[in-house]
Amino acid sequence: MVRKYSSEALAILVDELSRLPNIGRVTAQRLAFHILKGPAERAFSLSDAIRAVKEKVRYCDVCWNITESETCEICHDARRRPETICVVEEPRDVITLESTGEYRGLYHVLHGALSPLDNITPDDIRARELVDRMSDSVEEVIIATNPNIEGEATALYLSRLIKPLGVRVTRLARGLPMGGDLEYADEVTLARALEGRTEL
Amino acid sequence: MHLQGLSLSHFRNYASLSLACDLQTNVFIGSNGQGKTNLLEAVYYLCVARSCREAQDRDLVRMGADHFLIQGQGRSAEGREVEVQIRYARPAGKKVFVNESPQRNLSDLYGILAAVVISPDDRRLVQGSPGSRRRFLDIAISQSNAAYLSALQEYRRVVRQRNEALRAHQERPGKMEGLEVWNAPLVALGSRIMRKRVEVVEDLKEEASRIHAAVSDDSECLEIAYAPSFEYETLADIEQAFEEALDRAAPRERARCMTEVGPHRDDLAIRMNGVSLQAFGSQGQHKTAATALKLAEARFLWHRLQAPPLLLLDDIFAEIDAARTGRLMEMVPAYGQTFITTAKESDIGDYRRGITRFRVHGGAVTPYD
Repeated sequence: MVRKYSSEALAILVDELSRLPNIGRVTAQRLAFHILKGPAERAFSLSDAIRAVKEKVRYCDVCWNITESETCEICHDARRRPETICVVEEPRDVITLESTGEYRGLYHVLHGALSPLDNITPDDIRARELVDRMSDSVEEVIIATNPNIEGEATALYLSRLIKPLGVRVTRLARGLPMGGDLEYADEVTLARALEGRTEL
Repeated sequence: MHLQGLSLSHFRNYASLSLACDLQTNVFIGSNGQGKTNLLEAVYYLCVARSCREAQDRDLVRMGADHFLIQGQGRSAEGREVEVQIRYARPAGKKVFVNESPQRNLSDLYGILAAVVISPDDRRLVQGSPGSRRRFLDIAISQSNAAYLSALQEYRRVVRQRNEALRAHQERPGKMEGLEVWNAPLVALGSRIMRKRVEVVEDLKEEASRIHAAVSDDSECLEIAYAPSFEYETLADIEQAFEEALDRAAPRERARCMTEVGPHRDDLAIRMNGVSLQAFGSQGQHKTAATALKLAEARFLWHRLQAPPLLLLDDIFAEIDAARTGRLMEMVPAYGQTFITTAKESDIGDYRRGITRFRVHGGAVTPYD
């Protein structure tokens, strides 16, 4: 449906907003009118924030996480253990893992997972950069890519690169959610949990 | 397992329908094009969230509408009261609700209700491509085993990824590393699927030849056999045989950019009195064999789910001779809840008690009297 707007600027804003993920034309229009109606300072602060995120944010030279300086806070932190590197697909996975407060090692962000269907080959993820980080001080690489087929293939690919270097490679366990009842677990999760059972 | 009530809105030619089902036999009588088969399709859709006529979801929406809704309540395979609702809207797609709670995966729906359709389309099981026979096996297994369905969905994705990796390799030779990683999941998932198919074909084989002998009055002997895309010695060796088959197929695969071995290339061999039924045999023999396979599927599901699946008989009186139809209809009461469509009421006879007749006319269903 093509809608006519009496203002060119409004039409452009609706257009731009509708390019965002999960935003359709109708939602984009509602957001645009909301911005238009609200105070000017609010709108300017939104546009400044968008500009700033593109101008200031960059990737960490070491782990490719998001940062505003050459290396990120985590790589900079002397209390973190450099013997362990946890490999994730996206910067948001670092935030999720950090929220557990359990992990004290470093990270490596791949920025994707192998997926020929999306034209993502080994050259398109930060795999070489991970291999370059393998020094004598690294003892373990924990692969925390997503538990889907692309994440699994990526895990396999990385383990083939890293294991020959004499570094221990581990994978996050797949299994049952805590606080749940075995009876209500779906068959697939249960079958996987059985496959990945551990010795007590 | 049974369906007590069925409601439709904007499904096929039904603007709105609410039907109280007979727990034993429901017969829908009407001329062609009035919507008899659409009712069976709706019942089937409620069980597996897809059409039994290989139709796309968007084609199931009534002309002029933008969504459809199918709702049913009854008793599940496990004997619980259950209400299933499936909504489809464009462009959002379909959403499945069981007892009003949304289901994340389609596989969560499988096994709550199960159904087997017997229809004129079954001829494709014998005459059609291997794909029709794989589809038959996959639906039978999925309805009794949700883990199979999700393994199958993952396997199909691995095949697509691997084919794409082969294409990328052809465009930029020397980049083998991106291809190799897809072999391990292909072999692991593919072998699991093959083992399950072998096991299930063993079960179906005996049932099918027993049922076929009964319907054909012992004059013909039906045999089915699993026909994998590569040879293996024992079930334990499948992974190794799979890898060897991949090695042998490597030059061909690279030339065609296609994964050439694996369960996506399986077939089911159907023989009658020792010869391939696909190449020989009459229309009637094909139909009888396909019907025997479908009844064997119903027996298999009954055994696995410990409750008889819904049996949907669509216009089975066409194409099979009267004697065979008679013997078939004598067997039907031994199954569970049944839904039958026919153009002529006289086809049904009065073969058992517990039967409700409905008249179907122009997208409306009324009591038949």
